[in-house]
Order: sequence, then C-alpha cells, then structure tokens
Amino acid sequence: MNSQDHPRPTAPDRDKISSALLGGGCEPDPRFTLANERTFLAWIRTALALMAGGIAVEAFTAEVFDPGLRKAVALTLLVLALLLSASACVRWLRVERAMRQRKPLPLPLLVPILSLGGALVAAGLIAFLTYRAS
Amino acid sequence: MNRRATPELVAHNDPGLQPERTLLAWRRTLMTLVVACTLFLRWIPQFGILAVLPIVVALVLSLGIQVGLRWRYRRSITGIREERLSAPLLEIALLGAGVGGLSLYGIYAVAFF
Repeated sequence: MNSQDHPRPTAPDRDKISSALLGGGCEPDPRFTLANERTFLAWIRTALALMAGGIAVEAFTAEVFDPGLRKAVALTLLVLALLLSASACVRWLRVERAMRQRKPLPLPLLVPILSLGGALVAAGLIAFLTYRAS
Repeated sequence: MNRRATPELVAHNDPGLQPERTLLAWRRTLMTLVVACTLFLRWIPQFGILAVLPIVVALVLSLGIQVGLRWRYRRSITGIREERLSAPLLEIALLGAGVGGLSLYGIYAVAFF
C-alpha cells in the first residue's frame, strides 16, 4: 500500500514530548512506523553483537593476544557498540520526522561508522597475525 | 483457544503480518540483550557484585519492555485498522539508553581494570 494514495489525518493527537521530538506533519502509514521500529531493533542487535564481541575478546582471549592488543580490540568493539546504539536512536527519530513531513529519508550515518570500525579491527588483526607469523 | 491466555493471537487484517514481525523483532532483541549481558558474569572473580549489575539492568529493562509489548501489539493492530499509530518513543529511548549504558560500562571495565 502506498501512503501517497490517500490523504492522512493532519492533526494528530500527541503529547508534548512527542510533539517536540517528532515535529509537525501528519501521521505516516502505520506499516512504515512499524518497519522503522524493526530497522531500529536490527541496529540495536548489531550493537549488542559488537558489545558481546568486545567483552568476549577481553574475557576469553588472554592466551591468544598480547594484553595491549586485546584491550585495543575490545575497546574498539565496545566504542563501536556505543556509537551504534546512539546512532540507531538518532536515525530512528530522523526517519520518523522525515516520514511525517513527507521528505526523502535521510542517509544512514551508521553504515560508514560500522564499515570503518569493522575495517579498523580487521586491519589490526591482520597486522598482528602477520607480525606474529614472521 | 483461550484468547485471554494468548493475547498475541488477536485477529487483524494486515496481510504483511507487520504486528507479529515487529513483536518478534522486539522479543529477539530483548533475548539478545539478556544473553549478551551474561558475558559480564565472566568478570565476577575480578569485579564481584559489580559484574552482576549489567545482567540485573538487562533483566529489568527486558521485563519492563516485555510487559509493554502486549499493549503495543494491540495498539499496532488497531493502528493499522485506523491508519494511525503513535511512535514508541519511550521504548526506543529506554532500549537505546540501556544498550549505550551497558557498552559504556564495558568500556570502563576494560579500560580501567
């Protein structure tokens, strides 16, 4: 179903906090609101996986990595988890606002954050393994 | 089937099954939250009771949101029927803050101990 096919109510009942955060505009198709919610949850699960990875690296790899490298990898993963969880909330809000104002959806800032962070951790591990093998 | 015992099984007219998919996405996320926080228990020998704190936070957060999910599921069904659905600001803010706070706690534990 396309929300552009028929007009929606233009005077939604919102409390003060919702009005302040979501801005003006009219209510989007409820299916889009639910889809945005599920996308937020998928990002949060990604953040949780990174958080669990960071804790696991610190807690279970004492015999594999040097203490400094272990701490660096764990901290990178945990900082990524923190950034992702904050960015997921901001993205959810920006998409909600864009849908209400019938504007194009904003580009996800999360993708470059996750790509760069993942590449950084992978590069660090490759360098470590190469150094240890030589 | 007893509708009171299984409040999820409420009839709706959305062929895309969006209410179920969203409910299951929330449950998956809450389960992941609790399982991920059990890893903090590995630090009990070093941190003692402080290592139990994240899983307590995760359980309280999960239970709180879980209770609200039943209400939210019914709201999403009526929302699709009436073409109007309020955004779950509180749940999103709580979950985002919870995961961010737990990550921050992990950073503190790794960096300073």
